[in-house]
This record gives sequence, structure tokens and C-alpha cells, in this order.
Amino acid sequence: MASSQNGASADTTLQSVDLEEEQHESYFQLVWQRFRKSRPAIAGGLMVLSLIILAIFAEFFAPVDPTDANLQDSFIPPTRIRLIDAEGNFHLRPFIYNQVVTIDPKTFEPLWEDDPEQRYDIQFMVKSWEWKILGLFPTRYHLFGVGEGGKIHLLGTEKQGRDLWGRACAAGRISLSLSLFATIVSIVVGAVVGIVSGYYGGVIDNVIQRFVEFVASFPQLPLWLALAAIIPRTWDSLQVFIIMVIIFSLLSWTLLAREVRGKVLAFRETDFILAAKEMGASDARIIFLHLFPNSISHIIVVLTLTIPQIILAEAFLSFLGIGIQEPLVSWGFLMRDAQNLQTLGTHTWIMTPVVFIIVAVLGFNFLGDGLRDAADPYSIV
Amino acid sequence: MSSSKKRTIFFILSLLIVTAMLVNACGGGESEPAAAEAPAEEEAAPAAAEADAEEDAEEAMAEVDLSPTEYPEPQLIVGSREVEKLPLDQILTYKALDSYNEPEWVSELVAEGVLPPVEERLPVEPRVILESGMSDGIGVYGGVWRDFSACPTEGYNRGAGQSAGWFGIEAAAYASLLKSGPIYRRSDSLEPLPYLAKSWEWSEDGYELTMSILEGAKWSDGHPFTTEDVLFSWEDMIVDPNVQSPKGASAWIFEDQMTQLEVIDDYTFKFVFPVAFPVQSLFQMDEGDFHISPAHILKPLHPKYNSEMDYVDFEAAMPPDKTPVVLGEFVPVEYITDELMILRRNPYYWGVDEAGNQLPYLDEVVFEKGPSGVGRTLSTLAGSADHSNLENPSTFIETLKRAEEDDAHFYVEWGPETLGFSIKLNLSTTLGVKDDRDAAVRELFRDTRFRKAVSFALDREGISQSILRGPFLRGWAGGLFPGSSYFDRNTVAYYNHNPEASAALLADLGFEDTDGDGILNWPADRLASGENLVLALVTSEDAEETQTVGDAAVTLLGDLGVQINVRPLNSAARREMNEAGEWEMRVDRDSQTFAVPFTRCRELAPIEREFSFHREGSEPRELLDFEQELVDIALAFCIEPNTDIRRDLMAEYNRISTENVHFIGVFVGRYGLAAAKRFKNVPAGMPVFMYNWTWENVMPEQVWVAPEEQIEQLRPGVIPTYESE
Repeated sequence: MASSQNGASADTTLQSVDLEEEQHESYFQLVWQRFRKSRPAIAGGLMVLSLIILAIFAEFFAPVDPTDANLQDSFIPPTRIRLIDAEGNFHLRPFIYNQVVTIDPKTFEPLWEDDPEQRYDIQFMVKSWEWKILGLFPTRYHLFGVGEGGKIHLLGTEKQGRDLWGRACAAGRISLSLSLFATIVSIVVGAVVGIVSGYYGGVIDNVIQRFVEFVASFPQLPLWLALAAIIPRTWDSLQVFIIMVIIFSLLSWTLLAREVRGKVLAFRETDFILAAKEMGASDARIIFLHLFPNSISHIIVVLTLTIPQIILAEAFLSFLGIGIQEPLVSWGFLMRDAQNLQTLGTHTWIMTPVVFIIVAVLGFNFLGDGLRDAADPYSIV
Repeated sequence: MSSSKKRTIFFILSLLIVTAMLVNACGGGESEPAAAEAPAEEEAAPAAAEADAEEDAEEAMAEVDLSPTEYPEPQLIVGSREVEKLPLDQILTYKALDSYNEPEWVSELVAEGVLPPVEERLPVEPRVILESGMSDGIGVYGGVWRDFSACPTEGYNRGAGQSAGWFGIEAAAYASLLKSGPIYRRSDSLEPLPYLAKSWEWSEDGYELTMSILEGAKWSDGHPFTTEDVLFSWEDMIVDPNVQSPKGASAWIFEDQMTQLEVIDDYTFKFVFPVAFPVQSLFQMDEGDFHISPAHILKPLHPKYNSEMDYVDFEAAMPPDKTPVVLGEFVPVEYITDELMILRRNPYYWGVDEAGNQLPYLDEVVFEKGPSGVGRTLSTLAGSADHSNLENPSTFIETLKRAEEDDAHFYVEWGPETLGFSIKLNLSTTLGVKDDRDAAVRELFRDTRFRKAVSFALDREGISQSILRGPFLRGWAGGLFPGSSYFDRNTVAYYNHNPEASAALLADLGFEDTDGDGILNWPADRLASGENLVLALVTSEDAEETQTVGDAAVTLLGDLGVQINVRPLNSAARREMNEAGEWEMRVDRDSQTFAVPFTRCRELAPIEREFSFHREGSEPRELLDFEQELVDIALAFCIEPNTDIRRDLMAEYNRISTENVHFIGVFVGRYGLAAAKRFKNVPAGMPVFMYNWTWENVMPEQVWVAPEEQIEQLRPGVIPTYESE
């Protein structure tokens, strides 16, 4: 089947390509060959992969339990990792000093200082609090940590005294999975609607396209604000998460539907589709075995470019307080705490989760750009 | 490896990643409720398990100390000054002086014939601010007060409900019969200060209150102020149901009968009350409640006297672009929509100092307009405003840091502890109840054990520190604010952080985690039997502190197996929700009712049908026993003229309210005042918000600035002028 698609998708025989080599390389191999030549795309892929790994194994990378709230430990600044101690001696093994707080007698500003009396070496693959790999297998191992009594917070702590680094890693679970699910649902809906609309044409196409316009013209922010008010009060954060996925996907499929329709309109009159029709292939067979696979490259590109949009949309809504709520945590939710004078003036580390959002958005955009360039491996550069 | 195999592996790997993320994202149920014992073994007979659970609960209750703890003394905070309290006769009086003075530039206008001489502009016996009540003594003329307003200016028909822009504009421009703001300065009484009404007297039987107003006082256009204005403001504004006056006729109804107002002569009138000595009514004659409207301007435009006008036109009869006729110290003379408002001294203001200087001392007040209240603090930090009320804890430290810098133009002072946040539980049995679960939740809220359980769950000191480190905030039990003059620490039942006690109370209520999911389940004998104990908590989008409290409640109650779904709503959505009764728990910033209970005594307990957290719907309300006790106390308090008895009543109120956890206080802090260092005569220890806000409390007419510190005026030499009819 792959060869028929490939053969049909372009008149490759006209190109000066080594026919023998081409026969041994699938479409995806060609895409990969071209993709890996793009350094930004590889970098983007690695950025995304890093965030995914950090998200899945957040507890492994977190030396302190990110769900462990201690309100008395609120707003501790990031721990400084040292190699030189208070007396000026160099140590090969990195270490930290615990931080102690004093209050400025005039401004009441909390002043955090390292306490040289409380020194803790940083250890790798330490055993401390228990967590479950993939939520299933219990373990006590963590990538790094300090001995009992030591407090290491790479990005400081937030208002409930929870470790911000661990929370930012774990927040990727919601932010990434929400965007991924919402994108996948929107891709499925958009692709099916686009293909059906383009393939059947006529009245069906007309009706579907008007519906697409209707959905595309829906004002999203008022819809969110209305939803925030009417969501049943017994719904917990997970249910709100699911409804967010559904709404995001139902509002973001229209662009893809339009684009796929355009592609299918072009394919509809090509020889391989006409041939399939002549041979008596059913509509479903033509749609799912011919038209859909031929649009897949385009769909993948849209997928990678839609994800960052949804990450930003989720961050925006959670920042406004109408998205994810406690006890779930997303990057946008973490940023909600960064919108006051106190954060800008005193607790600047509360803004650090924005780096995760930037890395994710840049990563997916680089990846998407690379895929877009690589998706049509038969084009002449 | 073939490409198809690679693709398969890639697909499986992707699927695994997505599944792993989902499992991780949703796997939040590891926390085990402290309240719940291990789930009963499946084989065990349910009855036996139930009996075991009951025994466990009883044992837990017996072992845990459920008694309240002592409410601690407040921490001393640098930057707070004691208020210098004085008897009224050392603050102000009403008397004629030998001679009167005015600013030079106003004298020039008199010489030009634009204004009559100052003696003719002032009343026979002007209101005299005494030097003994001035912290910096008699002042000099000139200077500007720069401020900030974050509300749109609708117009100046305040009596018909229009806003001039708040943030002090109303306080600067309008005057009322009495004034509550400066009560905090009085040592002799907690009554409002005389203002336009210079004295009043109760009849022997307490049914009549005769008041005398200033004789010869004039509006800012020179028209005499008389009882005709008072009568018009009463009959055609307050009592007229078609006029949206700030406080309508309902506030003047006692035992279903309306209060009457009778004019005796041009400067004397009396209230005739249906009950004896309703002393609390004095607080309904103060600023913001009994607005005095200019009859000579508005009467001809009132629909009752002018058939061409309707009430909509009438409300807009004093538009923002036209200089209004007012009685206050300053008159708005220029308004640029959403940008700037300039107020200039009122040459007819009826107050003087002891040396005969017509007040105010300042020539000009400028309000910069902005979209949000925090802009006032930011403008003060930036140096473009002279005053801000520090009411948002997240701005405290930044403001203090700026105030400590050498070139800072303002200082910061902290008031009493009257900035409180609490969690309310909806105590109504019917309003907003849609199903069995809702009914079960409301019954639960009405059980004192549950309210205590929530109170015990809250780590108040931790929450205070999580909002703002330092000594600014501390735990609060509910009831009266610690900064209230009626507050007595010994009357507080403080159910502070004690998770074991909370867990024991939840177990005693029959809650147990029967399905092992980390969330307690409703007991079999309740309407929501078997369901998870999930409660909705509403916070406010506009008040960040409510969200922090809400998030902390999710964590702290979650540790005990109570799932809290928190949702921030904007003020409009919250208002609708409150009116429909469709809420369960909510975090509020509490009103000044708990600081100055006498001014709002009917809000202390569910007296009114619209009471904040026990609202009546279509069916009659079922008050809990202790609620009825609170109602009785509040009603007695409202009409009690004796200050000592009022104090005793409030002590009893506070004891009953906190013992029964009427609502769950979370933390209390202080409002801060940021004010320009160049301002003189700002009373020491002046609260930002007590009986009223800063502009009413400071008595702006007495504020002055030394000549060398005065900044340039935007409209020097300008006085309010009016087109002749």
C-alpha cells in the first residue's frame, strides 16, 4: 500500500533520484533523513523530549516531595549550590547550606541567608521519600538530594512551601498531556471532517464548511468565562481538566479541517483515487486507506504546531484562574502566583516556571518547522 | 530492522509515554486521610465494621483535646502609633470668631467682586477645628493633594446613587449631617461627630430627635443651605422609592413603621421615630448614608415637581462635565474622562481654624484616574500620588522598602487589626438546594462539629505566612476583629490548627474512607450516603488572598480526606451566586461590621432576610439556636444607648459566635496608610479603614503643607464658577 501511495503522491520518475535506493527507503525514512539534517528541529525534539521525561519522572528528578506542603516554609529562595565553602575552601563535591530567615526590622522584608553551620553535600541516586514509577512501582530513589535535615530547592518554594522545581516538572504532566490530548482529538475531528467535506463536495461540503465557519467564529474567552461559572460545583479538578481538553479540541479543529479539505479536493481528481473508484473501492476505503494517509504529513505538522498554541492557551486560562485548580498543577497555574507586586519585587523565583513554557513552545515550534520541511521529502530544496 | 517494525515500536513507545503521563497526571490519590482507619475487610459483616468505626471514633474523640486554645496577644509592629484620643470639645466646636482670614488669592477675587467677603460666606457660627486637636497646629494656605481613583465618574447626583469616582472624591466634595470617620479620635463617646448638624437632642421618651444645622452656611455657588435641603434630601431622595439613594427608606423602618422627618424652622428639624432611642440611626445620618442634595438645583429637575423629567433624566441631572454645587471642602472643577479630576477649594466652605482661617488649607486636590485600585499604590511608589491605602498584603513589603529609601516622599503607618479574611459555610437549609446531596451538605454545615473540624484543620499561622512573611498577619478565630474597640481577647474560643481534633470530629460525624481512595465517604445515615465528601469552595478573582486561602484549604482539608473543589469567580458571578444561594463554602474579605459593629449592627447576625451566609429563600429560614441568640444580642445592641452595656453585649456576642464557629476566621492583618511626608495634621495612628476610609478619617480640611514643600498647582487661582441662570 505504501508503494502505491508513494507512487501516486508525485511523479517521482521525472526526478533525478536513484530509483534503486528509493525503493528501499520508506516515506518515513526519507522524512527522518531530512529531519535530522535540521539542527533546530533536532534541538526542538530534544527540548520536548526532556520536558516529557522530566514530567513523567518528576519525582525522580525532585529531591523534595513536590506535594509536601509546609506553609511555614513558604517563599524560600532557590538554594545556592556551592563548591567553595564559607572559609574559602574548594570542595570537589557540590554542597549546599541550609537557609535561615531574618526579618528586616524596618521593611519587614524576609532576608534569607545561608547558614554555614548547616552544610549538606549533594548526593546522587539518593534514597529518600517514596514515590511510584508511572504511578505503579514504588521506589525511594531520586537523582540527587541531600542528607536528612538539608533542604535543597533548585527553584525555591512557592506559597505553600512546596518545592517549585518538582512542581514545575510535575506541571508538565498536565500542560503537555492536556495539549497533546486536545490536539489529537482536534486532529481526528479536523481530519475526518476535512476529508469528508473535500471528498464528497457539493451540498455536504457546503453545509460542513458553513458549520466550520460557525465554530471558528465562536469567541473563546467569553465561552471560558461562562464555563467557569456554570461548571457543576462538585466537579473536581480532573473533570475540569477533561472538559478543558474537550473544549480546546472542539474549538481548534476547524483550521485543520479547512486545510485537509483543500488537500483532498486536489487529491480527489488524481489518477489513483479515480482508479480506486473504478475498481469499486468503497468511500470508507478511499478515505481511510488513500486520502487520510496522503494527508498525514500535513496533519503531523499541524499537530506539532497546535500543541504549543494549546499550551499557551492553557497557561493563559490558568493564569486568569479559570483553568486548572488545586490540587492539580500546570505551568499556567504556577504562573498564576506570579502576577503581583510581591513576586516582581521580592519573590522573583516564582516566575521561573515560565522557562518551562518557553522551552515547550519553542521546542514544539522548532520540531514543527523541522517536520514541515521534512514532511515532503520529494520536494527539491 | 524494517521500517514497519520501527514504526510499530515508535507507536508503542508514544502510546506508553502518553499513558504514563496520564497515569502520573491523574494519580493524585496517594494521600491517606488521617481521619480514616484502614478500610474494613471485605469479609467482615458491614454492621460489625460500622460498630468498629463508631467505637474507633468514640475512642479518638476521648483521646483528642477538642477544647479551644487561648487567643494570643498581637505582635507589636513597628510603624504603628497610638491614636491620641480626645473629647469632642478638644477637637472641634461651633462658634463665632472675631475675624476671619482667607488665602491671599481669594482676597483678590473678593476685591474684584467675584466673591463676597469671607465673613459673609461663612455661617454665623462656623465649625471651628481646635488647635488642641491638631497634631501639627494651625497651618498655612496652599498646596496640592495628589491622589488616585480607579472608579469611573458617573456624575454628581450622589443622592440618586451616582458615583463621583470614590477613592476620596465623595469625601472631599460632599457633606452630611454627621461624620463617622473621625470617631476613632474621640475619647468621650462612640457617637458620630457633628458636621452640618451642629447639635441634636433626644426627647425624654426617646421618640423624637431634634437637630440643629449650621445657620448661614452656603452651598459652593453661594446659595444658603437650610432645612429645605434636608427635607428635599429626605422626602424626594431617601424616601422616594424611584430614587436609588445610597441608603433607602428601609433603613428607617422600625417595627414595620416608617420614621418621619418634620421641619421646625430654616435651621431646625426633627426625626420622629416609631421606637424609643434608636441611637444607631445616628450612623445613618453620616457620610455616604444621608446625602444632602442641593434642593435649589435638583428640586426643579425632580419628576415630582417637573412633569418633563423622568427618573432616568433626574439621576443624570448633575453630569460629570459640569461643576457640581456641593457642600464639601473641595469642588470638582475639571474632569477629563478616565484621566484626571481636579478639585479646587470651596470658597464657601463653612469651617475655620481657631485663628479664623477659613478651611481647607489646601488649594487643590487632583485625582489621577486608572483602571485598578493597585494603581494607587503603584502611583504612590512612583511618586505621582500622595496617598495610598495599603489593603492588599502583597504590596506591603514593596511599599515599605520604597518608604525606607532616602528619597521616598511618603511614610507608612499601620492601623489596628481590622483586615480579616474568613471562610463562610452556607447555613441555609433550602436556598440553592437542588438535590439530596446539597441538602446533606447544608445539614453538615449546620452541625457545629463540622465547622469546628474545618476550623481545627486550618494552619492559620502558616496561611498568614504563606500570604506574607513577617508580623503583618496572624490567625483569626472569627467573630469581632482584634482591632475593634469592642474586642476582648478573653471572649474568643480559638479552635486553631489541630489536625487530630479535626480528624476525630470528622470520624465522630461518621465519615470514613470506605473505598480506600483517600477521600472520606458520607456515612450511611446521611442523604449523600456512600458518596465521597466533596465540597465546593468559591474564592474571588479580585482578591488574591482569598485564592491563597482557598488553595491552602484544598491542601489542609485534603490531608484529612475532605476534597475541596476550589473555584475563583469574579465579583459579578459571586454576587449572583450569593443571591441564588448556590454556593457551599466561600472565602471572604470581611466587612467593617466586625470592627465597628455599632454602625452596622444589623449585619452582625441573620436579622435581615438577605443575611450574608444564611439567606432566606422562598421558604422560611430555620435559624440555629445560637444564631437566634446572636440575633437577639444584635437587636438589643442596636438600640442600647449605654456604652458599657453595649460592650457587655458584644463580649457575649463574640463568645457565642466563636464558640459555635458561626463562621471560620482565617487571618487578620492591618490596613496600612502610605501618606506624603509633607502633609501636616494627619492624626497620629489614623486607621485607613475603621468607621470610614482615609479621606473621611483624616479631616482633609485641616491638612496643610509648609510653603517650601508645596508643589505646583495645576489650576492656580481657580475657584468653582457656575453659569448664572
